[in-house]
Amino acid sequence: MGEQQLVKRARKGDDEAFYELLQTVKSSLYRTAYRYFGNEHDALDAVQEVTCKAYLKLHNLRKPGHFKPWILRIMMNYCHDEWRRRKRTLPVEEIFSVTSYDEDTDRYLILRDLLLDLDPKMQEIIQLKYFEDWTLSQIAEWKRVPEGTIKTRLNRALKQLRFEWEKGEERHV
Amino acid sequence: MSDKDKWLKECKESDMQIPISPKIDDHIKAGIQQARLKQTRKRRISQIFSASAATVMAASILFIAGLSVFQDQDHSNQQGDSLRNSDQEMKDQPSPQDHEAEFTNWTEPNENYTGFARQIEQKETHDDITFTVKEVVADSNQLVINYSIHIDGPPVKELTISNLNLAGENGESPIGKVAERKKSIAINNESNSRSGEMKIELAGLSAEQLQSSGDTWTLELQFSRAEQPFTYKLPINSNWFNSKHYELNKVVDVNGQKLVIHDVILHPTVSKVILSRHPDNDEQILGIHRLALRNGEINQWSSLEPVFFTLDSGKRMITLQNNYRQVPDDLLLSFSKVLAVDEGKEEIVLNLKNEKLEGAPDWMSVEQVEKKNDDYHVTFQVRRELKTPQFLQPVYKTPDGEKGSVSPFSRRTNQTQSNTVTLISSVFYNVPETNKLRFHTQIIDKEYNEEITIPLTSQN
Repeated sequence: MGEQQLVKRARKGDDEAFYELLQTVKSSLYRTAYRYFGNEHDALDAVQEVTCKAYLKLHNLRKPGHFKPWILRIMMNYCHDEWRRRKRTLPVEEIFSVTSYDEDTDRYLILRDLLLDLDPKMQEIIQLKYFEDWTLSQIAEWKRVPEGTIKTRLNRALKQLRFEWEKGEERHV
Repeated sequence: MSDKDKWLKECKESDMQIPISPKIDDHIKAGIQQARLKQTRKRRISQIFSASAATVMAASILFIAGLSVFQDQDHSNQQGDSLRNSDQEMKDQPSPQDHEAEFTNWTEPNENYTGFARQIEQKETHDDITFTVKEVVADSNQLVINYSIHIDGPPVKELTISNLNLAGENGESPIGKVAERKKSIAINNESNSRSGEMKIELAGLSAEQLQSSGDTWTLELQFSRAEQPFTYKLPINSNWFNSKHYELNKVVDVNGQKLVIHDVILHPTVSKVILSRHPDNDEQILGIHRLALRNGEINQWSSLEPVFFTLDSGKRMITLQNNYRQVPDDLLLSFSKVLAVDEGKEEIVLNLKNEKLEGAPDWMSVEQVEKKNDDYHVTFQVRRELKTPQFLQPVYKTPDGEKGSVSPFSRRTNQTQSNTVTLISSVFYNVPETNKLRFHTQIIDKEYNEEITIPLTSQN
């Protein structure tokens, strides 16, 4: 059954259809959360919370065919808010304890730092373009803006990403 | 393709390597369940409001007609129905005594269990906190409790557990502690609730000792926010403390370096893989990637997030976390990459007198050593030419037997045009006064990629 039909059934209260929908996006959701938090436990927590939010807000989805970017946006907002909240509230020793020392975690920490410093709207475009392999026209259709606008935003996002990269030495002190 | 494009594409490729947790479907289901509960709560509130509004309106009309007494009866009937409904719900929730069914062996399905986990629904409310123990599973390593928590009232960010006691049937406390960092529960601000998993380490007792603690343990939880403790009776299945033992003694050759897989021991919540390096090796193996036990060809039943470790000449036990909500049928042990360094290069020494590194590769140096109170604050510099813009994380550990802890507190990275990464790690070492510090480095010189799969067949 297609995504649009599943969304329609889920909107009518069919939980199995909603579960099926989640099956189509769970990998992207999990990996997005993992990029932010760098561990399985928090990534799973994020998937659970976002599933709950999406279930409750499904009627807000404008086009049934846009379920994936819609739920990814919810996930990015959740991760963004959660990460900011933790940065404010975590005791120092907890920050240390979640840092396990391996290449992968370190790469995620840095990638996360770079992406997280971008405006969420720019993060979203980078996520869709580079991690979900969307074309600019698909993104433009989803955002309901001309393709040129998306191109400009993407360039701005990449420019800012590079800018953050180049001043990385100061940022990580 | 620009550097940025390339870097992001490589990030995506690495991203695809992240194994999807086998627990993800459980969390999706829990998310749906959480949403349903919220909806039901919302509906009830709106029903109460609409019922009240309708009642008030009816009362007004009836009062005008001089029949207000019937309205009162009607209202009390509605309230009665509402109370009976909630009472019914409470009755529908299984009590611990309802779960007397057998869990005779690992593979026998049982409606009271999801995989190895015993389903219970014990709810307790004190002050504004409602804490529900939903599921419990244990083995000789840990007790795992799946819970949900809800706080009535203004938004709360965090809830602190001020005390926790666990006692066996004999009243003695066999039993351990919650890891420090789990002593507070982050609460979802929006809903003031959270579902989660609490792991309580069991204090190194044997399976027999744990079995003798009886089949009902008492958990007592004290939250700093509530005056009264929360008490739960946990049904404990003595079979949980049994384990399955696969004696393999299998030698695996990866590019001339050999690993010996001695044993795999399965418990409900964790699996243990015992391995060692072969004495013929001329390289030191520093890690294995994606070590996992797979249930069938695809599903990971038990896995370790990517990690490095030192594999010295003795046997080493690697603990993997299981998806205890599944009972595996066929199991395969697998890993994908071996990380190695030439023999003798796995240890470096920092001479604190002259601040020089001994035995370190030439791309690694000490930038600064400072003594602050009882801590050494050491800043290392690592310069390496990298083919792809990946990030290198040097890891420093004090060897076994030496007192000391390591806490990197900052990192700096700098990507230059030539793709050389300079990475500076500052490390606190809380160690006694000493002239030299020894570190096991985990700087990997060699990587061998190979998918290794070992079916588990022999069983003791």
